[in-house]
Amino acid sequence: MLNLIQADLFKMHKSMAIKILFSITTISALAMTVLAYLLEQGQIDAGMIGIGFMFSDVNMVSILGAVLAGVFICGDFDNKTIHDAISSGSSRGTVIVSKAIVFFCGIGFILLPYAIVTGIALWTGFGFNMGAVSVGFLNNLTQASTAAFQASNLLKFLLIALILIIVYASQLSVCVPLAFILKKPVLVVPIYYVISLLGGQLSLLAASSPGFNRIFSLTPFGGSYSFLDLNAQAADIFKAILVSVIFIIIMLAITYAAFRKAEIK
Amino acid sequence: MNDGVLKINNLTKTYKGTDVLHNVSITLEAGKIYGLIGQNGAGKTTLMRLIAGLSFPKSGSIELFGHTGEKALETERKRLGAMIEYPGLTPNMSAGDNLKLHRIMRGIPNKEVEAELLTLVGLGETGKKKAKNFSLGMKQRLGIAIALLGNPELLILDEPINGLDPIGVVEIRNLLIKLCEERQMTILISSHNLPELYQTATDYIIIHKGEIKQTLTLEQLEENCRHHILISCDQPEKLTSILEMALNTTNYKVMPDQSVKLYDYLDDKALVARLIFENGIIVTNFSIEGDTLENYFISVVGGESHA
Repeated sequence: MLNLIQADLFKMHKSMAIKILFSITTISALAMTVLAYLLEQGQIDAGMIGIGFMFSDVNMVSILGAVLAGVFICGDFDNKTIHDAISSGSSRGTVIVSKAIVFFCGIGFILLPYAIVTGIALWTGFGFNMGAVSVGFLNNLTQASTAAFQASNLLKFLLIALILIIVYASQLSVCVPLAFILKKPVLVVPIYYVISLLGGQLSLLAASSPGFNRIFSLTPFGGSYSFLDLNAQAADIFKAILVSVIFIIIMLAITYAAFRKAEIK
Repeated sequence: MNDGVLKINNLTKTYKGTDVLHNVSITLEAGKIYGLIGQNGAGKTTLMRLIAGLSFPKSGSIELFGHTGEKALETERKRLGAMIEYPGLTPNMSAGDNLKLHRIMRGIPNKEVEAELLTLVGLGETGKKKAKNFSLGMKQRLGIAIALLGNPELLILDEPINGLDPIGVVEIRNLLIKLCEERQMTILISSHNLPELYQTATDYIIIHKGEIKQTLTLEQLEENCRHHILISCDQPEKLTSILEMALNTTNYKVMPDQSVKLYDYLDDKALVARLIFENGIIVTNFSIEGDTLENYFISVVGGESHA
């Protein structure tokens, strides 16, 4: 499995797609932060919140994360890298796990600009605001700016950033079975985007229905896991990790069940 | 060497209720080049995909290097190199990077193997040119180089000469023959190009509509394609002595059914017929037999009759 992971990391390192996605998230993270700052300062109209959300991590990762799955998993069916791995003796389970690990590494990489920009922005002590649409790193930006960001918070912020990346990776793990079954990026990207939109709508439903909330919080889309910030308690963090990891395992198990005896065209 | 590299027993593969392979049984021995001959849709690629683990049979078994069962086959496939349908390349990478990717994937530590293989397939000078800008022939060569990574004991190549120019065809043919001879590599090649296979393979497997129609060696194929006068008669022993005494030839063969194949006097059939008649032999068949490679193939798969 290590060979496959190493090979995929080599491919990712050589890939133009990951560089483009990283550039997009870097620009988006900067744009999100600048807009949040200008909104807080009142220098731009509140109507720009929609634009600000467009650049936010939750929105960008729901599109670019699925693109990443398209490029690195579906693309490997086109390039027959998966065929070669199997015909040279790798088990299908190994292929799935290695692809998922590298996919999650890729998600972490493209989310890195959000973590770095948010960390720097908080360090400046400036105020940021994006209103009610704040989720993920944007939420950290707007929540923490109400209180002074101290050096002691840095480690906790790094932990929160890591957990948020895990939560996003868990949400995007839905793309793994989609990519292995559908094999077409053109299908994986819109389907996942719809799933992420649906997740947002179900969050609203969960807010008004305690029963549904309990069920929904068993997925990384629910339970306010995307709203973890510096005020999060150890129990929140632990639960976010637990739910995310179990959800990833379930997604990989579904992928294995579907791919175990599948024809590889 | 006669070690069984691959044994396939009664393999059946079904797509949407139709048998695309039906009770296929073949055995490949070490150090031979097997030509898998068949029309489009005959089941060549399906058979190769099953061997490579890209597809699963409905019934039957595959034994690779003496091992069978899903787990064991996975392990044994590490001794296999394959290029099926078209070469699997990462388009934005150079030939060297493509090889490096697959080398890492297979856990081969020796970096020098990349340059060696590129030189071996004639791509040593491609530098940083990306695979997406390669001609079809160059892609085929790179696909073969990838398949050769790790010095496989069984090499499976599906239409490897597709897109190659005439010089490329000769180079790849010589490479395969060299690999077979020097490394005792067993090679299974599929092709539509019968004359090309004829110059490369040592053994032939003719497949048609999912069934193995015939397996034969190069010698048997040559024998079957060689033009001759086929004579069936009531006294084959007397006939052979006439051939030797009166026609002064030993260039004939007595077949198991006691018919005689005479490879001389094809241009003077009347002389042979007259001699037989004059010696009181009752002839039940006297015909010119033998095929071109194409006609022989067609006759085996049940198309037009022999020429």
